[in-house]
Amino acid sequence: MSALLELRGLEVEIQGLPILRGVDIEVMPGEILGVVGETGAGKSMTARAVLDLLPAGSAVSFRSCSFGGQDFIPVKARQEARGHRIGFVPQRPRGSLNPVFRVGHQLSDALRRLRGLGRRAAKKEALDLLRSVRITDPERVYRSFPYELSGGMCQRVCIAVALAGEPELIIADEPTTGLDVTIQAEILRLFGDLISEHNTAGMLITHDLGVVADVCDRVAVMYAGRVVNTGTTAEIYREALHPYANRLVSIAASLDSGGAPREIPGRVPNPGDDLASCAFAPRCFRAESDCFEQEPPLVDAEGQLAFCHHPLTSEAVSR
Amino acid sequence: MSPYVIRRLIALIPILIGVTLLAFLVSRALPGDPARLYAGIQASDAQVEAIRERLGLNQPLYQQYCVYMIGQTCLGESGGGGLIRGDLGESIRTGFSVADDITARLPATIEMVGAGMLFALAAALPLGVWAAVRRGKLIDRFCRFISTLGVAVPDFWLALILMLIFFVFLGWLPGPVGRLDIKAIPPDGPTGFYTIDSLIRGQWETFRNAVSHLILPMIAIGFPAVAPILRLTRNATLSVLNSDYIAFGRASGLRGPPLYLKYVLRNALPGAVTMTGLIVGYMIGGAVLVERVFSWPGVGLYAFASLQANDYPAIQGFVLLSAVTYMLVFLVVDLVQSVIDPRVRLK
Repeated sequence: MSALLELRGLEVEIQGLPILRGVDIEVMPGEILGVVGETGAGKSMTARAVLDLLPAGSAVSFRSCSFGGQDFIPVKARQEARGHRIGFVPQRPRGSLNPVFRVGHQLSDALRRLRGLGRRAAKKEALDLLRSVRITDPERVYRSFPYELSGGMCQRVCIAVALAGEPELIIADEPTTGLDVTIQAEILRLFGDLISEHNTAGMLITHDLGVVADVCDRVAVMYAGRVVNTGTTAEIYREALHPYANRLVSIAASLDSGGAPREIPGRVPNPGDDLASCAFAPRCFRAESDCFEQEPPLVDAEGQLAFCHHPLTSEAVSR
Repeated sequence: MSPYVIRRLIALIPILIGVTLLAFLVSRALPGDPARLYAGIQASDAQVEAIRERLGLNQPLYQQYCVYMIGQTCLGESGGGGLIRGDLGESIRTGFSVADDITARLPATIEMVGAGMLFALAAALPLGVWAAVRRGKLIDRFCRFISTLGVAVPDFWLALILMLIFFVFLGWLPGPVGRLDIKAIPPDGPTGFYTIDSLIRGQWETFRNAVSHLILPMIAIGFPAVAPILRLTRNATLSVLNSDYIAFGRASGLRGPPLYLKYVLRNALPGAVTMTGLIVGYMIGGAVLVERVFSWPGVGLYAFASLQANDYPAIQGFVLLSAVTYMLVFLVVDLVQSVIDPRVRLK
């Protein structure tokens, strides 16, 4: 099966500082890919590069980028995909809806814009969409202003907007930040359900590994502007190849079981820092001299891919 | 009318009483003697004294103010008059009731100031948004130039320059003869605005005539207002463009004019609306000089002539009118704010 979104060697510089240093990501049709990493790893920037929504003063380059078979390197192709082919679920739902327009107006505007519906058809469809994101009183929400709704409710509306153009992929950028923990679980389950109901694919950006375990089919772990480890969720959780991903998973697990939080020594490098050949080497418990001197090879084992000289499995074969 | 509006209107009354006192004292403090101006240079001292007595100007100030406010009742005589009965007094210069004088001239001023305001908004709002979107580009620098120019150029001077260019040199627009050509007959309509009345009556020739006379005063009074509204709109737009909701709007496929003129502008508008209110007040002052330059028969010209004649009741009437207009404009501004942004609650 060929990938829906295939991204190779994505590099982004913002005001001369390297933010992404060759990101490879692919999303298969129908799957949900979790993109995890610490703040500053470049998760959001990857998503924004796909939609050409990077901040002013950014320089982007791809080795290759395609979406549903279409070349996605031209800026115009990426801009035209917004809303139509790729839906987007934002980080801060309450701030992401326009404060001076009614929620229903914003949603039916999106439907008219993305699907060319008439005024009345758009309203009917908007109410259906609100219902499909499990809003029990769509009529009331339709007439509400964003400030009259809770964060969770606003996020449901944002998801409805993301669905409005019947996209092939929905990118959710930390969709549960700032929501109550109980609401977070609901929103994630909703996101997972809608992806399969609407026959689309999902890309879920988060720093919360628990979230990934619940809804994602595959995981891409990012570190310092690069994807260092990808694999099925089950594999990554069982035994991640990359020491960083491995540590991340075990920390999340120890937090879940109520154990004392352990941390990875050192800190995440800032953009512009001098990086070793493997950016994680200074913090890595398995690092040896080759990690500092040579680019880590791509290893392929147990359904995972990782960039590492010393992956956590004996059978790992260098490709 | 909503209780909020009624409360706001009631709150105006004490302020307006203060305004009348101030206007009364300030007009008395002006140099010059209305009785002497009224009597003419040839008049004897006795004649001037007689006129002074007839106008009630020989009475003590507190008594004059009392008569102005509550009429003849103040002197223990029967008879009406006084501000509380809506009587603004009689103009010393024209001999007519000040209220009638002002009512007759008000449409001309509203037409000019209104057109000027529309001109300013039509230029400043789109330019402000455009300049913010293309920040640092040519259009942004052009707008900064316009803003600086607008602050630096006084309206009456601009009026003279416009006249020099478009009437004297190019001959495209009529000279300073008022609202219509001298031979033209004013349209007979309900509003008193010649442009609207002639349209209602279907008098195309008169409409063309009225519009051609309106253009230069409109630009002269409107241009200085472009600068502050433009700058405010640009800055508000810049912060709106950085907002989460615009980022999400873009990610959902919003772009081009619908994005900027609907979703961005609506959020950037509140500051510009408040500024517009302030500017209307400034324009009433500006109208005095601009109307003078264009012989525009409005209240500004009336105020100008009244000032020269030390016409106390007329001056007071004009000051009161300005104050009322200013405060009503601010009430409208607050109402408009609540329409633009549902989070603004009026209480």
